[in-house]
Amino acid sequence: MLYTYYMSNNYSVLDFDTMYRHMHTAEVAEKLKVSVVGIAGLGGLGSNAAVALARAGIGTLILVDFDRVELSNLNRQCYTIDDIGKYKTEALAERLKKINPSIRLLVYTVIITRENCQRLFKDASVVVEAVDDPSVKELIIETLLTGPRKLSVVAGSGMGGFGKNEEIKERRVGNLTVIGDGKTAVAEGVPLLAPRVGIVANMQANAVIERIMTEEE
Amino acid sequence: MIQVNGKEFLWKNGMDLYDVFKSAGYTLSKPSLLVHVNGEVVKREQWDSFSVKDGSVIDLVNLLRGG
Repeated sequence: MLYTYYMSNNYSVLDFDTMYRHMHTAEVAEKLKVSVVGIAGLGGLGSNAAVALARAGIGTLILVDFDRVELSNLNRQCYTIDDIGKYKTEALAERLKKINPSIRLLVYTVIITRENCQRLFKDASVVVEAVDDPSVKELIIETLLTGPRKLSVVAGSGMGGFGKNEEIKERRVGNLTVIGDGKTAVAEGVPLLAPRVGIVANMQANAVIERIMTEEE
Repeated sequence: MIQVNGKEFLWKNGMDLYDVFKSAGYTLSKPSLLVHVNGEVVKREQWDSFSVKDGSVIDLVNLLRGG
């Protein structure tokens, strides 16, 4: 589904494009504007990474999640009380269009499987892996990195708890970038808190932009 | 010798990836892993049939719950 946001004030989409060229330089703005980034899962990692990427001026985001917003998401995910009960795809699409009306959003409210994964992200050059379940993380990364088309994946692994800023690291292996502490899984007594999840989400978004800016023409 | 996440381990003839996990101290009750051998992803379905050659550089990425 393609989302359009009709602005209720005097700004046009053109004003946003001009602002991005002014703020980011024409060269950077153009490169980000023509890029397509996928977000697999719109929870604590995905919703926050998507906001950072929309703000940075990524031209097209592919948003994929099957779930609806619940009260227990508000401790870390980029939703508000008004979003409870809505599909995350739709709630986030609305928010992103208000942040950057010139963004193009491809929105799929589905469960990611081995069968549909390639197809969902077929236009993306980079995909942010942002799901909760480790076996689904593996499925997404494995499927995308062994497909017929070359693309990069930026995954998150190890972001539970709080503090220990210095332990959150980026690791690169081939076309995979993994961000996190690599050891703090979410478990009984190890909750996800907004700051540490947000740090990893923003490092993922930052790594996406780096991949885009250093891609070969 | 083979290298696993930057550390060296003894290579044995006929080694598959499960043998590599074992020698690197991984127990496979820890289920989700992304495996690269010499920079290429090896899918889970190939782990038991993949013959590891001497001198291989192997990267194991743990995928932990949370997102």
